[in-house]
Amino acid sequence: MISEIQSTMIVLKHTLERNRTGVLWWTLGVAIYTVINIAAYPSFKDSILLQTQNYPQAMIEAFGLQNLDQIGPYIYAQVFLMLPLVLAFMPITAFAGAIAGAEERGGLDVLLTQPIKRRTLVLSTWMASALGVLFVLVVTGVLSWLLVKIIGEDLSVTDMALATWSVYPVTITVGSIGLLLSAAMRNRGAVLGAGIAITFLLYLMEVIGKLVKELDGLRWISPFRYFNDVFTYDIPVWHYALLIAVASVLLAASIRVFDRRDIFT
Amino acid sequence: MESAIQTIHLTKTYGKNRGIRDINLDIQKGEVFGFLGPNGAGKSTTLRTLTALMKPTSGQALIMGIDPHQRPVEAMAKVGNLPTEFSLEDRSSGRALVNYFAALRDVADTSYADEIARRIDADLDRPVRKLSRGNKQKIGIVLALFHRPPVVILDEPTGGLDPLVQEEFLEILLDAKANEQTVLFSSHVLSEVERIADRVGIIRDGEMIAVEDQHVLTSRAIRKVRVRFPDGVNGNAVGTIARLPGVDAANWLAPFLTFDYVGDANALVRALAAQEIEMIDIERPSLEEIFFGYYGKSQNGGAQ
Repeated sequence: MISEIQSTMIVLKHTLERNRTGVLWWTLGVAIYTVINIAAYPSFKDSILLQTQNYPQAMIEAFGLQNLDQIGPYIYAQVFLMLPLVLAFMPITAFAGAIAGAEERGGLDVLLTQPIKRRTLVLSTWMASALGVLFVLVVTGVLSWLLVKIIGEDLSVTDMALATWSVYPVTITVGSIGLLLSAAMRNRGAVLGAGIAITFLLYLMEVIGKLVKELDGLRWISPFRYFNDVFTYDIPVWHYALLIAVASVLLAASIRVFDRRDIFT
Repeated sequence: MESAIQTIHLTKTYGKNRGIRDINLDIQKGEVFGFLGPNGAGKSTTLRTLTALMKPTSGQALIMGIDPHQRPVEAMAKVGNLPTEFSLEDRSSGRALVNYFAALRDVADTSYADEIARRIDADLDRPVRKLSRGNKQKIGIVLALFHRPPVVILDEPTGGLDPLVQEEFLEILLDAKANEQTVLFSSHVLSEVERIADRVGIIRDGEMIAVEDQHVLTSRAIRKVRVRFPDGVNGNAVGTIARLPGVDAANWLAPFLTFDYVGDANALVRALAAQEIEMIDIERPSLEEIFFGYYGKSQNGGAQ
């Protein structure tokens, strides 16, 4: 009999192969979005549209509008700010299909009567999605840096790498909510609906919390609170640590929930 | 004798009036056990609890002495399972799935998958999405059996298979029996059970109402018999048959005598052979009729 690590690697490899086409489509979509926005920078660089100093401070902070005439903050506002919200749907969709969707179709009955633990499936599914998101971000980061060079702007590799990395913990954390939903629910549509609704709610809590002072106290709940512009502000190391810790708790909770419940078809 | 599958007061309740209650089974190594019951009786719930897909509310299940809920990896390493309603990954081929599960089971030699596929005419190389329901079922059979598991659990395995393939599949199960593998399969098709099962368990409304040797169960089943006598037959000949022990509901509508029969087939054959008859039809009983004959109560009644 093989070890649990070996079976996890086998299921992970299989899941990565199954997810491959989806990851490539996500990469293509984000790449197109990135190319369009960065390629447009020379045209907007001196435009009045990027002169935001007269905007309300709350709005500037909420939408990352500070220093838009510099390439780093511009890329943050135009590309990276939206990426956690958009990319969180990638793992949510994958988790909904791999667990709740598979159960709904009767796909788990065959897999879970192989000699594997249920947590092997949950962990492999999570790892496959985490690697998929990482792949999209690495391609986006490399592409962004190359485009910055092509349009003749100056941005260090380190800054670009940090900006790319900054998207990762928040995306994985929000995506892991989808894993917990999929581990607990038996309906793919319900997981997708609830996952998308919760993601938007958390995003709105952060944005509205910045705009409305009275709601500022709610922002700590939202994972998006712990993601910000590394081109302008210090690197929030403890924010990343907190997000990774929350993602780990969500993963552990998903394993526990899935391990304790019945599998239906 | 060594137990391969045991359930001890196995109970699973969920929802209202559903589940199984106090199921006790002891299936020996090398035995083929047919699990019969109408839809919704609890067959699948029992099998799903045995394969750790459902947690028992109380009681215990054991596969080769291992509790699948405590040690699922060790237990499932000994099991080949074919669920009743399953789906396979649409984009994968049967062969890719065989290789995937062979890796998880640490099985290097997958040649038996090819042999089973050849015997039941399963296409292992086409993507699952391009296969009909029956052909997907064949892939499921290959996946359940290719690693020659000591315990084979099959939930309504012949659904969607054509008769020739069904026959070959039953031969494969008999090969498994000859190979000391234990087979537990659920069915509502009596002919399958008669063909291969050593013993049969009947479940109804979540309770195991009988476990019998297969031939005992089927011999007690009602047979619907129709005999055609020659024109102008002597009424005594008809009366002789109609008064035989085990004959019930006899109806004479010349030249046909129809009746229900429960009991020793030899006695009936001897009685008929003593008469001049033109034709005889003996209708195979349905599962519900077996319940009726076995328990002597209406389909809506409980067991006696």
